[in-house]
Amino acid sequence: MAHDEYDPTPSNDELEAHLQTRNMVVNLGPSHPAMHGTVRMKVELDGETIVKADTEIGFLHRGFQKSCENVTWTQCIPYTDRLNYVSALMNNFGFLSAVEKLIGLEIPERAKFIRVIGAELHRIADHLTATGALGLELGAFAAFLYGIEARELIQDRVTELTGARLTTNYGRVGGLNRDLPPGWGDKVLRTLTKVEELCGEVSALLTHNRIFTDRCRGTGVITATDALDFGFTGPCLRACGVNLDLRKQKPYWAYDQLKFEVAMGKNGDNYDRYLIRVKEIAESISLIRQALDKMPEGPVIVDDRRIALPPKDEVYGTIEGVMAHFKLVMEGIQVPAGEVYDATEAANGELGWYLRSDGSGRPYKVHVRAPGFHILSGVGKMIEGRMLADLIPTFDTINMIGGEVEQ
Amino acid sequence: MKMKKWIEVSLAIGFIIGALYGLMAAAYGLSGLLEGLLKDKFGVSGGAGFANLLVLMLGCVMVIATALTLAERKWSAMMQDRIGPNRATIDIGPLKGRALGGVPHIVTDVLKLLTKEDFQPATASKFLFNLGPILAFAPVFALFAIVPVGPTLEVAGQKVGLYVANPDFGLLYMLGIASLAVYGTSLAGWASNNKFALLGGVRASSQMISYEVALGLSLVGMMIAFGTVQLAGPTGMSEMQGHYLWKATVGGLDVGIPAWGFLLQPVGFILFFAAAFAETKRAPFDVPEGESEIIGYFVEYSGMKFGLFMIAEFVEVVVLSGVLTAIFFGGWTLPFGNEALASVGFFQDHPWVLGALFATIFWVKVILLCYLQLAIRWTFPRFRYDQIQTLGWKILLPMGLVNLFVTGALILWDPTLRSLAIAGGLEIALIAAVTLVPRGGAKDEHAEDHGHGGHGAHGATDAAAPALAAHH
Amino acid sequence: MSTYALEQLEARLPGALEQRYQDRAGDHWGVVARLKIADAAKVVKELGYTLFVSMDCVDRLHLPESTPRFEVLYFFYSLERNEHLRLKVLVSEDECELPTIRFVYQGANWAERLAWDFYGVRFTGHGDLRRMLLYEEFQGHPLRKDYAMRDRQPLIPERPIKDIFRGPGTSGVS
Repeated sequence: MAHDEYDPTPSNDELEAHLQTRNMVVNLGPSHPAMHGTVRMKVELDGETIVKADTEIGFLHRGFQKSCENVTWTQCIPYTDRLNYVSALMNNFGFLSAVEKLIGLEIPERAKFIRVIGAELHRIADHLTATGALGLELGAFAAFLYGIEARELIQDRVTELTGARLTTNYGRVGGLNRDLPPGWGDKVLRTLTKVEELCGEVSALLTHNRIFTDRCRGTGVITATDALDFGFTGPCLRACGVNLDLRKQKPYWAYDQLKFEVAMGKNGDNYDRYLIRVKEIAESISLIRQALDKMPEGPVIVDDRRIALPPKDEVYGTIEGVMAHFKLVMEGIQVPAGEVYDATEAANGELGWYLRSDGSGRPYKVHVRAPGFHILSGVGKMIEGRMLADLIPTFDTINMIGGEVEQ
Repeated sequence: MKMKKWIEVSLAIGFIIGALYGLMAAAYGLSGLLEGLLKDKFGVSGGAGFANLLVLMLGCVMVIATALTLAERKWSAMMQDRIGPNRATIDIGPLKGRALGGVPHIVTDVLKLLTKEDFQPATASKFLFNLGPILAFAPVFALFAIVPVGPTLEVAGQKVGLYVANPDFGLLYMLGIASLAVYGTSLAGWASNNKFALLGGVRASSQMISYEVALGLSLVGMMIAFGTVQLAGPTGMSEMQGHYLWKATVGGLDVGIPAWGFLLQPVGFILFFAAAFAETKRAPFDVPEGESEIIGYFVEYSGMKFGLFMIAEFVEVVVLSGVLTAIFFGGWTLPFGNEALASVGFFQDHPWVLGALFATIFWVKVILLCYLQLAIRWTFPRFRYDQIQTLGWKILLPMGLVNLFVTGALILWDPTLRSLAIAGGLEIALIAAVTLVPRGGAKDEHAEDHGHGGHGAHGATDAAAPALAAHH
Repeated sequence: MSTYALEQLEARLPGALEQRYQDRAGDHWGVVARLKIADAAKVVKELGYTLFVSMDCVDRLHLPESTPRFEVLYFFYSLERNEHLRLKVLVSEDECELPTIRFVYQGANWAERLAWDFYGVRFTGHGDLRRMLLYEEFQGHPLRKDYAMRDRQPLIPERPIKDIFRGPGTSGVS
């Protein structure tokens, strides 16, 4: 056979050769509908598959730590509102808890219960935002609006409690700056009934929806080992089957007096994270009901003029009151020199604080361990090799909040 | 307060139906006159078609599509416990400060789109960039030409029917024109020179190409059943569906089971609906748009060019409803009493009065189907790109083939279509049973290891797959 | 909190632990030798402290005890023992670098970038030490105590970006 004879069958090399294609680099964000806040994802696409992803953050950086180092301890509280702006109360209380641990202060029993109620209210709000946004970005707009309607009711209660929807600035070192408004408890109970109903609607629209489960199951998967390695905490870690909830492991405030279950997942995918959030809403509702039921009467802030502002009639009526007030406002609380690391369980995971005091009225160092920061650092791992469309539910279920991630 | 609301809503519905009736009567009159005029003066026919082009397509389809832009927002607001658009008002006389159900928003939307800057990216391919919206809009609009709205009647001495054209190749025209629409979206995606738009365009073309197959296949059953591919005319599908399979006369009123398409071909109907829904590129099939992922193939368009894409979507909704009505929901016929109505003396003397009534019934069916489509659009999340392909190729296509063979066999066995209708009834019962049986609670499902199972059947077809399997 | 981890660390890696102390709240801290932190992290992970909690720096410039200038803090958590482990490395201004633990705990990648960004502490062997929150051309490190609250940065002209994944420059990459 002459070798130059035409052979119509293509050679093996030709059959196995790939098409001459190039990967496309797409820049998602910082202004993109799927990027909550202002995160920028640089993704390299092979068709619809993400080959490489790099997350760039910092567009919402406000200098949280530097700001805190230059104001008094009390003045830090408004800055903490802006960390996780969906659940500001939990940041307020978490920060205060750490400061109180540094001082070595025990807060009144009633304040503990109110902190539980406030934190759980905002945990519901946070989870509702996450599940609602998940529906919204997968195209189920109705679920989002039901979730937001429930969240709005909670925001109303929070407004009555704190005076602000978003920037609550509630709580002071040693307790709280004001007691519950009269009749607030009953209103909360009515709100919770309505929230339960609306959550049922969201759940009915999403949980068993075939399209929804197909989009969420098996996407955004992370193994328990990787999750721990990256520093995942909260619902994202529990979705991998790791039982870690600081409310149970290291009970703080009044959590040891209340009954609740820790929602657990198994597969570490978006669907498990979604289910955990839905379950935690129910648990939080039950926690608030118990706390309202068991809450004792009494003061809401420690009776210590070095820490708590004196009541207004004392300020205007006595010289001691004026002096205490002046010292606290102008110089700040004299937190003893030292360092402390303390953590509470926020909606998205462990909200840790490393505080350093040099004995003056201002913090020397305020480090916040934002749960979202560590979770976001693992997103690249979760979506590489998956499809572009999987990025959307993944980003929703981890509930990245720009404020806390970018400080 | 509640009473007042009911009265207002009833008045609005009455107004819409009245307006439709008037329009249809005008359509008959205009068709008859124009047909006569052209025949007398120039000796050519086609006047009726031209009149229908004006009244049906520009008048009805465009107006309903425009109204749908408002209806979509108002209806979705109803579903989501919102108020919906109510800010725009016309401040003249007694209308001052009244929301009018949001109707002025249509005007403000159009004004906004028309007065916006017509922006073009510097690197875009100018000609194709401008061609995109036109190609997206025109074919969709042209689809309606073969849909018969009312019966063929004698008006002003001329035989006229309410359709623009009735070519011999009927439905093939529809399938052909529908596949042209993909050029608009893929051109728009490509010519914008934007990566997101390109992704959208590629998604759109792959989705529409894969659903075209299922779309055509799902209609073959109906074509076999009625032995025609025409929609209009006395032997067209639309009119054939008015015949009864079983008939009885009760007190002068004829009742029975008509040969409506969805009774004969429930699976075909579901397949066609799913495939055509995918062709409209609306949620849950809005992957090319996917506003939270890639913003969409029209990301670079602004002003009325963007408006054309949007209105094309709504026109698609109306046209799809029209086609569904004509093929599967008996066209303009009522499920009972057609013959009784036709035999009334007054109607025999003035056939256009009855014709306009039937045409109004057609439009009411269209509007109800539009509502169904919007309800689906606002309820379901979006598919993923590969799940759409799976649904198209692995579910719809095989089901269409099986449906085709079964239909063919049944028609060969019993040309009266009665056995086909019985089979259809059984299929419907099975689908209903499978859909209504509640599934396991969240707890059980969560406990079990839910690996990423195959993307089996989805949505409506979810129920149909086991139904079909069980039946055959 | 028990001293289990610190004792184990001392036993398994002699010389790694320079100092042990308790803070005001009674929590135990271990000060790890600068160059041994990567090995210490490995040991700690083997001990069951698998959750990487957090990491940060402190600039001790204005504290009474100001040399060495920087403290690098590490927090780990053990699920079995249900406790946090607090480690600390002292880094002087002249030798402002320490080994990375990025390849022990993946989560340390971003945390180390953040520490570099805010304090100018370098992590040898990190390989991708870009700034985390601030931009490439930012001058100085804002959380150092000598960076004044109202310091301003120069305006950066628009610049071409060669590699979208790396950013405009290569500063900070080691």
